[in-house]
This record gives sequence, C-alpha cells and structure tokens, in this order.
Amino acid sequence: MHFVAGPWFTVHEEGQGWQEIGHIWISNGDDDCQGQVEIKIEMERYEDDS
Amino acid sequence: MNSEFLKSRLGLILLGISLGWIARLVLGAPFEAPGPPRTINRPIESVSDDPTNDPGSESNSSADSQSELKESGGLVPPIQLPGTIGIFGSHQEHRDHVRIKVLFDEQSHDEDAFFEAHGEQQCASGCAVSRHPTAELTEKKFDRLIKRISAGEMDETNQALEELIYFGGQTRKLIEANGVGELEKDRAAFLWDQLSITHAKISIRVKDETGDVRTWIEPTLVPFDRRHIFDMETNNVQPLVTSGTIKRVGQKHLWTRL
Repeated sequence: MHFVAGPWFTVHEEGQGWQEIGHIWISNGDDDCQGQVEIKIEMERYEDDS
Repeated sequence: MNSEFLKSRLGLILLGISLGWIARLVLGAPFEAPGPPRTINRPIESVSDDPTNDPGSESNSSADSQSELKESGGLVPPIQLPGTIGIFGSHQEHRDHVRIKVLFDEQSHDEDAFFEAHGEQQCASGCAVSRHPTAELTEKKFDRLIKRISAGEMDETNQALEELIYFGGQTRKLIEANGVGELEKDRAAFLWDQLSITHAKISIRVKDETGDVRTWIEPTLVPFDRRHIFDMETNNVQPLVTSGTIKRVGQKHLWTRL
C-alpha cells in the first residue's frame, strides 16, 4: 500500500532559504503527528570536470 | 456431574477447532502480510542509463524531434552546445573561456536523485516528456526579445531578459545559431552568464511538531526541467521517496512542483 502527498506547486526565490510548502501526517506506527514540508533551492552552474 | 460437564466442554472445543480447520480448507488461509513494504514499485523505470538517450545528439527540426522521440522511448535527446562560445569579445575572453558543458547530461545529477520522465507532452526545450512543458521560443520571438533587452536594466525588472532566461536551453541554442544581433557586449555576456546556470541544488525536509527533522535530503544537484525521484533519509518514520521538477522562470525565481 502506498501513500501519496502533494503535489505542491510553488515559486522559490533565489536565496530565500527554507520555504514552507505544506503539511502532512507522519507516523512511526505508534504516534501520529503533523509534519511541515520545507524546501530550499539554490541555482547552480554545472561543469563536468571529467 | 463434573465429569459430564468437562466432557461436554471438551467436546465443544474440539468441535470448534474442527469447524475452524474445515473452514480454512474450504475458504483458504487468510493472507498474512509480512509487514510494510520496504521499497516502492515505480510505474516507469528510470531511463538515466538508457543508451538511446545519447547526450551528444541534437534535435534540429520538429520531424527529427518526433523521430528521435519515438526511438528514445518517449524521451527527447538533450540539447548540447560546444564547450566555449566566443561571440562576446574581450569581456568574455577575460573570463578565461568559461565552459558551458553538456547542458542536459543524463548523469548531471547527484546520486540520491533519479531522472524519471513524467506526463505526455514534449518539452520544447528538449528537457523531457513533461506535464509542465516549456513553450517553444520561435526565432521571431527571440529576435524581438533580444532587441527589447536594451530598453531596461539587466535585472529582474527587465521583462525581455526574464523571458529569455525562462526559455533557457532554447535561448542558448538560438544564440548559438543566430548570435545576439546588435545587443551590447556587456549585456550579451551577462545574458550568456545567466544562461550558464542550468542546474539547482534542492534540499527537502519534513519537521514534526517538536521540531525534529523526520525525513530529509541533503542539497542534491539536478538539472532544470527534468523530474527526479529523491531517496529520502528518514528518522523514526517509514521509508519514502519524493519527486519533483524545478524550472527556472526568471533571473531570481524558480518554479517547483513537488
């Protein structure tokens, strides 16, 4: 059995740090609680040195 | 009295066990799950190792793209440009040959991320089959945007610059093919430098109500416009993966579907 959350859509500004995008229920089998989903994105230049 | 009572109870117990076994034989044993699955079956196999997805190939026309799309099992071969571009004169030269390597290298992501195509539409920038494709940048529109860049500052208030950055790989390809017209060298160099940003590092975490991080992924490199699956680290929560696509939509802004 699979559980799916989302999708979440957001616009992230360079350098804004952690951004909260939503909440989900999480469990370890004994205790359930709310979890806060956060993302952080930084732009990168990719250079293959191989 | 006691002996008869015990016999009748024993008889009832034996009768119950017998009926249970008969029911088990007739109806079959109930399914006993061994526990929660430790892996998740994905509907589409990762194609990161697909040899038909040659990063060296280039799609030059719509017909070629469609043909290659079929040959590669639904994936568009990536755009690849030469390592050095010399159209910007001295301003660029002092940068000591800034190299822009393979732009959509299949391996240009960290090991915790796996490319996985998503959706049914072909991305015009050659990114992949996607539910959120980038529209096509025509030469006419490209020329118009290049001319308009000079009208404003080279920052996020410049709508033409923002659009050219949004089109990313398509803009690079048209600059390679057509140049930048009358655009000043400094502005052209700035634009090309911005277009050399082809990837992002994404971090994801889920914090519980006490502030503990229960699942996370460290900063992970992925190319723009391609959906990736991320293997998440976990802390007192069941194994899980996340997936998402990052698109650059301006000089300082990224659009994300997670």
